[in-house]
Amino acid sequence: MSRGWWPLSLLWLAGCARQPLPELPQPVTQGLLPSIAEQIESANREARASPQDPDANGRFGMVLHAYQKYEQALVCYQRARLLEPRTFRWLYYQAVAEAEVGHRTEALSTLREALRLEATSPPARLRLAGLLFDSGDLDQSGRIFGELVRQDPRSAEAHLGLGRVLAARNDPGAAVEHLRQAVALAPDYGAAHYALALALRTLGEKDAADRHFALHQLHRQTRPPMDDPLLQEIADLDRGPTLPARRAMALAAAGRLQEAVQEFERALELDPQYASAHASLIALYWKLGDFPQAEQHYRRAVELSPGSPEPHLNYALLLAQQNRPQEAAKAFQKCLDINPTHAEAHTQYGFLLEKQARLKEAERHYRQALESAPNHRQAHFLLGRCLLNRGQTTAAIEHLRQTLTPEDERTPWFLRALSGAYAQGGDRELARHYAREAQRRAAARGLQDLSRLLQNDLRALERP
Amino acid sequence: MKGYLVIVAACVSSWVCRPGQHTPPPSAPWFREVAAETGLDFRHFTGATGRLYLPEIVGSGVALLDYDGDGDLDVYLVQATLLDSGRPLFPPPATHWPGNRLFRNELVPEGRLRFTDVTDRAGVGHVGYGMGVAVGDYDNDGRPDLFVTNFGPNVLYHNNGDGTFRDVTRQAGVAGDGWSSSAAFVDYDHDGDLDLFVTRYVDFTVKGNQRCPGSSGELDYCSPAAYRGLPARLYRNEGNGRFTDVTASSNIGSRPGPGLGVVAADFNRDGHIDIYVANDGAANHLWLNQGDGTFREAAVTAGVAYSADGKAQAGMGVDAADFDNDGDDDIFVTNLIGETNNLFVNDGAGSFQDEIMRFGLGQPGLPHTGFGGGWFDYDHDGRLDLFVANGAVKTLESLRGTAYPFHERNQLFHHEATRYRETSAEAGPALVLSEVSRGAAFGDLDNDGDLDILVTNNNGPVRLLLNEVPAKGNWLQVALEGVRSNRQGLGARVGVLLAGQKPRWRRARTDGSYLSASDPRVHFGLGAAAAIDGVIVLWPTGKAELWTGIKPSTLVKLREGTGNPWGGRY
Repeated sequence: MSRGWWPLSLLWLAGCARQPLPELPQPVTQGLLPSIAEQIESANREARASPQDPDANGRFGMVLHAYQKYEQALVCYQRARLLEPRTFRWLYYQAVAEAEVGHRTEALSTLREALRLEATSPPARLRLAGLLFDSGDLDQSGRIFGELVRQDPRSAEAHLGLGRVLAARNDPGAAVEHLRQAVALAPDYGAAHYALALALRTLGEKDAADRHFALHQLHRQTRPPMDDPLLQEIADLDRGPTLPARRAMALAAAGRLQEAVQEFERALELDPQYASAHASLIALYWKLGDFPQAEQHYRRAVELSPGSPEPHLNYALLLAQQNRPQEAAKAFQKCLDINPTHAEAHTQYGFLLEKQARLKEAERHYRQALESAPNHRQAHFLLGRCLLNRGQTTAAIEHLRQTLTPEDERTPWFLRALSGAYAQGGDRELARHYAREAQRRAAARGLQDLSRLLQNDLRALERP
Repeated sequence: MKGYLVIVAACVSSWVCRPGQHTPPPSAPWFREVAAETGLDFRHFTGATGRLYLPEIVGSGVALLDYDGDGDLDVYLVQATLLDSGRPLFPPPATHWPGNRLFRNELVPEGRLRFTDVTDRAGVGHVGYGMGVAVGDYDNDGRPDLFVTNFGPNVLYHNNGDGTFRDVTRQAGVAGDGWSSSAAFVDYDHDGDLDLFVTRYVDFTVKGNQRCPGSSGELDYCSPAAYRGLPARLYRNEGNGRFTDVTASSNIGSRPGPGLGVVAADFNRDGHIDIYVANDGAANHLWLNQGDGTFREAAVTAGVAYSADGKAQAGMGVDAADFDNDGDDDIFVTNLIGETNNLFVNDGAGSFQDEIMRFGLGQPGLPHTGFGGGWFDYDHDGRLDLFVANGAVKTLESLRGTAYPFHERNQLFHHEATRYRETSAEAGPALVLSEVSRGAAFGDLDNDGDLDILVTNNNGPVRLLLNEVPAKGNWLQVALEGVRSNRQGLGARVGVLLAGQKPRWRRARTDGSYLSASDPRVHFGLGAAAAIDGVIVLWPTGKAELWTGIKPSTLVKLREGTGNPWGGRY
């Protein structure tokens, strides 16, 4: 450097050093849950009481971050970082917040700076590689993902990243290797199944691709557990009901009902006004056979969210199952009063009426269901059956034919119903055809009871 | 000393790495906003009363159509209304006229762009909670008709040809129910008349309005997940003024979804027009036309259901065009803030990859919630550029505490061979406006050969962005007249042959974007090409014709059956 540069560089450095702290954000806490408002206000007070304390500033950012108030969190992190430039944590959080608000270029640069302080942080390196991939820098991204795979061959995320880089480089064969590893390490990793399906499709392996598309559908929301202690600290600050409710829904979907109930109850501890938790607990307690609890949550759900049709529907189904038809009918009517086009409510209400031999009313509700949802399978089936009982075979067949898709566990049963309709209409040939088709599919699915019934049907249909 | 050098370099690098801040202001705006000065006096009214009803935030659309056949594009704007008896949070101005509005363009014969409100005379001022509008000549009488979607029953207006319309909804049987959003006229059964596809959103009702607290408990507009998605509806045109609801028999009803945007094109090039629906917060739908009156939903395996990392996104608006000039139609979908938009690139056989990042469109979309938008060649260089209308649907933290905390800037992108570059900052003040934009329609409103943009704003005024990009290339506009095909030729593919270049294919359409209908004339930017070798039209009924002797920078009208048979490969 020539001597002439000295004054200029010193001037520049002085400018950098004097970079002023941005103003602390002043979040609006009106309308927030009281516990969360207090949490934010308390962090705000602490930061204002110690404006030069990087930890107080950073902690305020973390609290805001926990509630997705990224722009404001970002300001806090920027302050913490300016006050304490050598702390990895604030730089890392700042990069995460920058990425969240869409400032990916800034996030890349902040992450690089963070990694100069803690070069081996796997979450930061994964994030950097991901951001580089998104920015189109496949070389750098692939290099980092490759290093991560070598360092930790059990990292499904690193394999997925590398697989995606290879796929983007038009090397689907190599991509598939890593993507297969990703799904082997994390069999429920939805994003990995999707990337694998796309790579297999490129290779022309349609059946395998379809299998992984289906697995992606099944595990779309699932990813490996977060292995990022710093972000976990932020997640742990969340005092809202959303996270436990989300966990509850996942547990319920997995059939772990008791644990789902516990998570919903936890959500209600955090926010007793959380109407959707009450609504979900109606069905959960019902399935667990605890009707008094189900009823209690129904009342609370309706009180909190009088406009929601779902609690009425769930409660109606519960009452119907308990053989309390008049109360069930009232609950169905309340649901339909709120949403007159609710196809499921029309269908189930129709079924209740049908059981009470109120066939015309039942039929009307089935038809209303089909007006709103023209391919509602159960409504087609019930209406078809209703019409068949009234001797309207042709119309019944029309509706029963609509039940044959999609292909699933129920399809063989619907095929049997269609076979019965043809038999009743005198078309024994088509009746046999559909009975055989039903039997074939029932056998394929291991539905032995149905197979036996169909054998009897076919024997009867063979008789002259 | 070495250490100082490194630090200086870092500071300099962080300074020069923000090129957007140093872009010199353009000398003249590329797009000039002229709605008010040309008489397009329309302000959208959401009817919001503070109860956060979902329809209040999804906006309304706009249609460009030459309703009076005088050779210029008129403007139809859809309006909303109150949903309950509460006091509006944003009362309309005293001059507010309830209901949809039709503005006649006086360019022909006056010679200057000026609009006159002719709603009352035309009889198209439906008052309802208006959503979208589709344009198509469903009875092949040579006059474009209007289909208006609502939260509530829809309306079909038949164009009488004397400056008036007639509400024929009941006779036609297309009122539908629930909450309809974007609609498209499409001849899916190739019988020469336009059928009607209507996307529907969710089963929201005013009585069933949900309370949707955010992660920290603050109330905001619900996401569509608070309700059930609805199946779209497909109506088959019977050719006698009546439509039959074939939703069930065509399979369209088999997959409900919170549909917002729709576009129809032959994505797998099997000769049958398919339908793509952008769903909000759920997998998008690709309805592949089986050619027998039924459709098969194949978005997942085609790669257009999810983002590249397999996430269902908040699909709002959609467009389909051959942006990479390789002969097939690709798909662009706008999404929510924090999500990238999607650029699904077609491999020619109907398999797609989301390549939004590779084309440089990923990052610019992340901080925005996109709605209307689409491809158009604003500078006539032969490559399709992009416009995206943005506006949030939930309170933006940075605007919390302000009266209407949803506004964002719209975006313009220039196609530069292998990537897109955002040019919003260079385009002038019209692209600096921060509003809650929703619908966008593209068309040549001043008949100067280039495409202008009409943008609707939720709770705000309509904007007309007049294209004044300097030093544009040559252009061509093609107006089709179907004879065996539908009269407007919607669904046709038009190809331009230029010496030494691959044919450029564009769709004849009014669909796409969000809740809106665009100019049916097919537009091409030709760059410096001084001659056109030929224009090919692949009509929806299957016929392929070639016209020669067409000059650049003209509007040509091509009638089915008047060209030479074309047997080339497409």
